[in-house]
Amino acid sequence: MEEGPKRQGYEFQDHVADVRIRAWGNGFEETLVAVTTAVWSYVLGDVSLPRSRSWEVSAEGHDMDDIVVSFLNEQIYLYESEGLVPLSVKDLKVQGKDGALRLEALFEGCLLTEMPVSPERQVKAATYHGLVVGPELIEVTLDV
Amino acid sequence: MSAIRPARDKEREFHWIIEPTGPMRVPGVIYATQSIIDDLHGTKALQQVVNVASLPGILEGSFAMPDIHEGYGFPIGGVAAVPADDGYITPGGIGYDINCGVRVLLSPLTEDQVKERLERLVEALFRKVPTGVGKEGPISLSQEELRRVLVDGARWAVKKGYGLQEDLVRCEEGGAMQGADPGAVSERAFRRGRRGLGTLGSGNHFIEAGSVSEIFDEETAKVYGLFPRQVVFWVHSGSRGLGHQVCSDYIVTMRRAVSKYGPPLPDRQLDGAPLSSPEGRQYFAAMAAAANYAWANRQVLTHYVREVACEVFPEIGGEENLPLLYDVAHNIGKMEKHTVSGRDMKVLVHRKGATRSFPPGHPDIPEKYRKKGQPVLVPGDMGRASYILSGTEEAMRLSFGSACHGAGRAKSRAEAKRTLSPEALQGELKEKGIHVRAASIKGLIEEAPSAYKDVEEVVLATHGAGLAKKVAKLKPLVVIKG
Repeated sequence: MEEGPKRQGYEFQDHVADVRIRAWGNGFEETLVAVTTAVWSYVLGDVSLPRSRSWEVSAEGHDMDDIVVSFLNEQIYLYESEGLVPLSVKDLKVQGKDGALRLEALFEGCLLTEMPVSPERQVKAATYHGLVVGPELIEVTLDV
Repeated sequence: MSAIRPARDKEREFHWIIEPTGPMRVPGVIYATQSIIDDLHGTKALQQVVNVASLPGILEGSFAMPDIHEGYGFPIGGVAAVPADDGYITPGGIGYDINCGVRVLLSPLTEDQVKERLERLVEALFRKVPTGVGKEGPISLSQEELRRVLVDGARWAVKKGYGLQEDLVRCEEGGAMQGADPGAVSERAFRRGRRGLGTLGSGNHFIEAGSVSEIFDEETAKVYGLFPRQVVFWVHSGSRGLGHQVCSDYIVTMRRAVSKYGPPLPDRQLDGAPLSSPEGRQYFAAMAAAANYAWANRQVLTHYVREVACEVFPEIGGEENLPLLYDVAHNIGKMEKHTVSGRDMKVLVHRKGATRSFPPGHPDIPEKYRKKGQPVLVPGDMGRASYILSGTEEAMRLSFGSACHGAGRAKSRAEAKRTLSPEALQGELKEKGIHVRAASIKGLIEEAPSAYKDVEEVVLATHGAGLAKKVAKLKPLVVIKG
C-alpha cells in the first residue's frame, strides 16, 4: 500500500480468537484508508505486486459503523469472488447523512492469479464486535 | 478488563455460576476447572456469557463449555437455547463459519504398520487437498448444481461419487439439515461458493492422521470401532466463503430488524430476530443451506483422504475399509426437542464452538451408537492430543445436550508468533515424530500447540462435569494445515 501522511498508521492488537486492528489518521477518510491498508497487509504479507487494474468499491450504511464494516466486507467479497487484490485506495468519499450514508472509493491492485506466491492469511469478515469508529481512530475486529 | 467473577457451585464440581443481574434473563453457567476460570480473567469471554444471557427467549442459562474463549457476540464455547416458535435467532450465536465441524474416519491399520510411510502420506495429502488462502477446489458448480448442494448437503456429494452411502447415517442430520432454502442465500454468497467445495481453507482447519494412544471405556470404544494404536483420520473444515457471506449478509439484515422486535442488545454482534419473524425464518433457512454446503465440503474432503490413504497404504483394500465414525457440527443452530422445567419443548439450540452430546437411547443418533451415546469428537492441537468422548444424559440436563469442541485458544495469533519461531515449532514437532505441511508458515505458527489450552484440562472439566464421557485419547502423526 502507498505511504500516507505522517500521522496515518495502524497496529494489530491482541485478540485471542481473531485479529483486531487499531488505525488512526487525519480525519475519517484517511483513518479508513489506514484500516484498509492494515487488512490487506495482514492478508497478503510482505510481497511486491503489480498494479495492473483499478476498480470502484461502494458501500452503504445507516451510520458510520455500518460504513466501516460494509466497506471492508465489500473488499473481502470482491477479493474472494472476483480475485481483486487491493494494493492502494484513493478518492475515498462518504456522502449523505445518518440513516442513508454512501461511500465510494477507487482501488488499484491486481488479480489473485497474478500473485507470485499465495496470500498469507484469510479474513472471513469484518465484525461489529468492539467496533470503535471516530473521526481519527477506528478499531475493528476481523474474524479470521 | 472483566470484573465478572463466577461463583463456584458448592454442590457440583466444575460448575461456575454468574447470577443474573441487570438485563440478564438467566444465569451464566460455565463448566470449567479452576485453572480455566483463572485464565478467563482479563478477557471479554465472561462478559460475552453475560451478554448472551440477555437474549430474548433464552431458556435456563447462558452456557459456556470448558474450551470457552473470547469470540464476538457469543463466546467461543457458548450455548444458548430459545423456544423454536418465538425465541431469538442470532447469527452471532452461530458464527461466520457456519457448520464448521469435524469428522473422524477409522482405518484398519495400526501406527506400527504406517510409521515408515508417514512422510509419503503427508506429502500426498498436501498435494491432493487444496489448502490455504485463495485456493479454489477442482469442483466448479453451476448455479443449479449449487442449489442442489445447499438442499442435499453430503447426500449431493455421495450421489456424485464422493464417499459411501453409509457415511450419511453417521453425520448429524444425515449430512443435510431440513429447512434449507437456497432462495434465502444471496447471489453474493452463491458467487463465493462456486469453487469452494473440496477445499480445506486456512486458520484452524486441518486434516490429521492420528493414532489411538489410550482407551478409557473399552465397551464404548468397541462399539465405535476403536482399538489401541489404530490409525484414524480427522477432517476439520466448514462452509468456506459461502457460509462467511451468509453470516455477513444476515448481520446486516438483523441490524435493521432488531429495533423492530425489542430493546437493543448489549453487543451488536448479538442482533437477531424472533424465529417467527420473516428475518428470523429467512436466516434459519440460509444458515441451514450453508450448513449443508459444509457437510458436502467435508464429504468431498473425506473422499480425497480415502483416495490418498488407499494409495499410500494399499493394504487398506478400498475406501469401504475407511468407514466414517461420525461427523459433528461446531457452529450451528439446531431445532431439537429438550425438557425444560419438566416440559417437553422444541427449541433452537445455538452452538458456537460447541459439539452436540446426545445420550444413549436418543433417536437422533445412529442405531449403531444408540446404546452408548453419540461420539463427541474433540480435536486438541497439532502437537499434543485429541479425544473421542461419548454423549451423556447429564448433558441434556446441563447444557441442552452440548459439550466442548476442541482445546480452545489460549493465546492470540500475534502472541503465538512473538513467542515461537518457525524453526522452534518445526523442531518441536519433529522431535515428537509429527509430520506437518502447511500452506503458510505464519499460519502454522499461529496454530502452534502453545497457542491452545491444554486439551487435558478441557476434557477433565467436560468429563468431570458430566457433559461427555472419556472413551479414547489419540495422538497426532501427520497434520496438514491451510
